[in-house]
Amino acid sequence: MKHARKRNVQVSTAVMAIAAVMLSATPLSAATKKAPKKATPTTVKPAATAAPTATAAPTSAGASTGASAFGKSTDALYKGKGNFNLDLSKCPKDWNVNQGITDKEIKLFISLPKSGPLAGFGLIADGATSYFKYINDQGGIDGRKITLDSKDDQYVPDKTKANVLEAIAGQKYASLLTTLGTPNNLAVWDDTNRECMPQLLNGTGAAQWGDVDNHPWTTGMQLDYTTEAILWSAWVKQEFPGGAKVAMLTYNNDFGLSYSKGFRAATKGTNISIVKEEFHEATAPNLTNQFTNILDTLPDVVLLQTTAVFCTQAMAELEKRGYKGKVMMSGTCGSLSQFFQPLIDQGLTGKDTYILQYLKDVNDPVFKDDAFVKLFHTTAKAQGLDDKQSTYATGWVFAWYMVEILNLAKTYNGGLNRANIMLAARAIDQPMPLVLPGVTNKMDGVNDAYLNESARVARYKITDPKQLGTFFPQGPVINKEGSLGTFKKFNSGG
Amino acid sequence: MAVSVIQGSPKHRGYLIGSWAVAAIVLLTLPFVRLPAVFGNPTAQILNWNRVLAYAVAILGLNLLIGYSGQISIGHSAFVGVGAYTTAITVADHHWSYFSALPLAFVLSFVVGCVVGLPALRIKGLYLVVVTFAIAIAFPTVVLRYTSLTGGSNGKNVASALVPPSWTPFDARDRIAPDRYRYFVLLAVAVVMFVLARNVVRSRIGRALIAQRDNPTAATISGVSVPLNKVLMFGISAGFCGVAGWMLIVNLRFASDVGYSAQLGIALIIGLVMGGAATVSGAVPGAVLVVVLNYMLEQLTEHEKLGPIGMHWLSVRAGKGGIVSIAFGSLLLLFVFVLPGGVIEGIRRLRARVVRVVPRPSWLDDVRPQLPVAAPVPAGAMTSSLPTPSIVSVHQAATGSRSEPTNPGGLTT
Repeated sequence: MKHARKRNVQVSTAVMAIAAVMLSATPLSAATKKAPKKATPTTVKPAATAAPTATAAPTSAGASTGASAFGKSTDALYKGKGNFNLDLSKCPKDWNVNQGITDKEIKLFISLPKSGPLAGFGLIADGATSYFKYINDQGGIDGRKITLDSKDDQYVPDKTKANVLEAIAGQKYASLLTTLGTPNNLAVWDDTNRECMPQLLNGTGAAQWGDVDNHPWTTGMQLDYTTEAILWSAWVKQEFPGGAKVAMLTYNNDFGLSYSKGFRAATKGTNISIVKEEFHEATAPNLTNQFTNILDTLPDVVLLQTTAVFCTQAMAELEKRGYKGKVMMSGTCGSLSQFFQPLIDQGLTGKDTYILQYLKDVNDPVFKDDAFVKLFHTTAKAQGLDDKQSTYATGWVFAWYMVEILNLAKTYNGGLNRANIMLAARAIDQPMPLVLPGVTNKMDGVNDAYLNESARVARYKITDPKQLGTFFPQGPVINKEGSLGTFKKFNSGG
Repeated sequence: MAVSVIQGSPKHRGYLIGSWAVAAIVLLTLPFVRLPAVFGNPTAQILNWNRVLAYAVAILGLNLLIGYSGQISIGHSAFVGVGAYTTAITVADHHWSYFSALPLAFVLSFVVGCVVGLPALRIKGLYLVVVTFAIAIAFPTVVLRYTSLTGGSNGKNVASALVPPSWTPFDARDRIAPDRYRYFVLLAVAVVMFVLARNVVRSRIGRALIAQRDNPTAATISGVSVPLNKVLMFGISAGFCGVAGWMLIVNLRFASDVGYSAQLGIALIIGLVMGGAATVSGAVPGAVLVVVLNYMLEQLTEHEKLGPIGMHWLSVRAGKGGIVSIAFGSLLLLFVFVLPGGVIEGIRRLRARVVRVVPRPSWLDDVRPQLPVAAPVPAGAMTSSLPTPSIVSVHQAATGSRSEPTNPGGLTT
């Protein structure tokens, strides 16, 4: 059905980028070896890169250290890293800086699909709860337990909006966590910003979440599609120093077009030329015509700026026609069982397709000794969850960032409160233990509003055409930290 | 034992006024009543009541078509969508006021409805279901096609809300008062739509529709223009749905392609069946069931402590499908078997145990037993409030049966 397919695009928008790209084979990073099983929340992070802000200033519950350069300046003004300031006088009259935060508890809210075609992503909430439970068992955030209330929105943005309006009006949550889906977040971000409700770590890769200028209370987490395309351009430049002819297959919607825009901007004026861009709609029955046109131009590289079933269709078209050039596909196409298995059923393989990845796959044997991967498996199993289910690990990723934000916020002037949580969300400078070595996670107020801007190229390799293969890394992580800046800069073509 | 009340008597009038007064009190106090947590927090409650009002108008529109015109449509979500997007686009992009967008929402949906109604003339039954289903599927695709107008897959957000003017007792800066104000605006619109529907049903066109539903040949012979009536009814019904779309935007200020998918069309049908087909008032319980029951089930699955006896088994676990939908589907089955006439039939049955409204005895009663054959029925007699003998009732009278008056709609006009 057209509809289901359309939603799949948004899946990608949401979390497939993470869930699917978690396939890797690098040796274990030194940085992630340290975390002991019974660690305190702060030492769970890779000790080698532990955030100085989070660990240096142990604070008692609710107390302000007064030592931090950031945080409360006056009652209505909070100053954060990278010139990010919050003017609280613009918030509603009954706005409470301590809402949802007591000495015992920090209340968070998540709206995501738990039923309907994308119900599988509901496990993210369970995964996040699992990590919070682990942190709570370690003593929480200075004795405060983190609780996460969730509500099903079936991935219908109208429902998301109703859920979030209800959550805002209830006045008991400190922050929203990982609202899933691009349209779903766009449906509520005007409301969250008017109401000064932190809307953190959105589960989507749209570039909008870097709009610190107009939507200071909203942040994303994932590598956004535009950055992904910029990283592709770096890879093409490296592979073809003498210039290359590039053809694109683009999903004709926001998702597909953001790749297009990013790649075009990054290769403007270089010796990389875009010889063809073919579009397809959500309703396209096949991609035969598109690939006839694309291959007519004899491109060196084909970019698959699409997702879901079209990933499989595109790979099949290229392989059947014996295309010998390089193929790079959206990170949302990375699920082996979803998109590569159907190829095997057709007698094809999809081998030598390239993809970007930035997270470790918790089920990859290469990482079986990784401390954090081990911690995930043992904790999830002890809590009665199926630890083979990588969507739980995705929940852990989001929850880890949230805990990091809370730990950072409590060191700020004024202690742990919602304004400081928002400042901290724009000041993270600490790679999550599940990101690949070399990937950085840095936010810098109004200068850098994107958390993940690096990834490495991997190539799909097979040993037996009847079996699924693996993605093998090709070269180091390409780090574009800070290059995208903000949504405003991105929009003005910067 | 039930009390008998003669139709049109002062007692009957008192009874009617009494029940209307109770209904009015309930409707007017609803946004101020604090219901248990299973209904959500006060804001969620009002948002849900607003949705109930919108759904009621949409179900009412659908009922005009299915119940009275006999044409089945599951594509009415598209007409709700036309109304919603008309409102969202005019208000968000062209800075219209919500109130000026309302007539346009009705008119546009009406026109689209008439156009869709044209092919519906030639097909009926299952085929019409398929055609209307195609419309339901097509609408979201159209929304995605014209991205610059509709916002495409990102949806259409309307920044400006319908805020209470200063002369109203509602404080625009309050947290909940604007929602309450919107409730009363929507209530007023809904009441107008219900009165309109009631008049349509009781008017010449309504009676003609019933006639043509029950026996198209007889209706045509009697001079009813079946095609015109059918198209007009499709249009009116779509127009009602357009108004419902306007109401949904007033409530939530957001439109998306998935919000007006076939799922909504099916939800409307479910509401119609649960409320009671071919009734005007059935739209209200139907909408309450679709919106509130759904919401309550969701609440119970999220917070097991809200339930009376550990509702954890209801819990929606990701990947295991929505138990809410399953529960709802079962409920629909139950309705079909136990209460095929919907909640309204149930209410009528219950009421019949307490109060029985009997028609005023006609002067003809005295002469009936002597009547050998039917007297000619004067044209337009059925629209008068006095029950007039039709062939059926005369026959019944002749055979001595004194049942409830049957609906002689198929034989009039």
